[in-house]
Amino acid sequence: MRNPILIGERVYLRALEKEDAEVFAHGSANEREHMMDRLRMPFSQVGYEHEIEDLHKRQPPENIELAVCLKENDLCIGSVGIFDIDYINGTAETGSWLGDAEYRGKGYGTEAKHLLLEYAFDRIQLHVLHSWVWEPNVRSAAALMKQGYQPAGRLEREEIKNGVHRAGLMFDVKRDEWLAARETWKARQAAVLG
Amino acid sequence: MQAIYLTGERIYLRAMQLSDKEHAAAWFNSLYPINATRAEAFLKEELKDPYSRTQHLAIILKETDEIAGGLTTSTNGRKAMLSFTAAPWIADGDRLRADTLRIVIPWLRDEGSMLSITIAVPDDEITSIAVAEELGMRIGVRLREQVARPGRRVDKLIFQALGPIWTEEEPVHA
Repeated sequence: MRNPILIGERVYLRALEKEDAEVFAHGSANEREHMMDRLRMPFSQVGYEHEIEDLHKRQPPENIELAVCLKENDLCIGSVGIFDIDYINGTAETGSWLGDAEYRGKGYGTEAKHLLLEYAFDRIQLHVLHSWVWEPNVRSAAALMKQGYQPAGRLEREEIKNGVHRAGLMFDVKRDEWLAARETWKARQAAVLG
Repeated sequence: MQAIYLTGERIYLRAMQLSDKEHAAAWFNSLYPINATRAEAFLKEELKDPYSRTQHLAIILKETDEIAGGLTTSTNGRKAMLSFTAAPWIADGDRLRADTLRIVIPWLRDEGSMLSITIAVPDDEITSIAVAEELGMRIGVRLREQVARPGRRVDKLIFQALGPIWTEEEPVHA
């Protein structure tokens, strides 16, 4: 493992490195799902490199984004992060992304997200987190609920797609809600693995 | 330079100017201290593009001409997100926000035809909440315990004003 910060069963989280920019650029160019965002865009690797560099400029950082890597071969398959961190109020927005569709739907994202929430609640002591999902993205909304997030409301006309205004859905989660969800997930994992 | 169309009973809004660096604690949206040097650098960077999608406005008390707060508007031409801050010496920041909403929401929604305007309001700021509702805003989101107060936490409400849906006009031929 390379410079791990949090370690799970199959994945670990580490700080993003400049070379991870290639993974993000490749992911944005090969994205097959079109309901995760209003418009797919092939973003430049150069831009991602700058973004990764910026992450490490301020201390304490305003955004913390971590690479999600497979333990078996150290391959970076995506990222999870906490953004717009408010250290005074103890809040932040969370986000996650797996670049290659090959790694989606296999539990890697859920495992990585639980590691991120452990980092947010137990390492840097945040009080409550929130996340935003575009209404058509039902998979992400369902994933958040499984991770302990609760519906917090909706903002209408967040984006437009096919001539129709679609809402943005907000969710929030407190530490005890996440812990309960993680216990449920661990029990399910144990049952699956026997 | 007072904006005549952004003037209310007690306050008016105007564009930021470099001399505002001397009063940054009143308008800069942070609880951490900011000095004039840093404020000047911020203003020079933020004000260099007059057509920027992010605009910073100073909130001025009409009676004394003092900066009492700041309002940042971020728009993409269709949606506007507002961020408000009150000077730390203002006794009633809730009322200042309410006064600001009375001016800014009709401006953006009715004159500006914004499809959506959002602003966050802590759940214990009852004057702002009352004025927001009076202006036809709705609570879109309630984020639990997001605002820390001494010895307690309150929810953060995100109010949303919806403007009219844009429609195509029939072309006018000479």
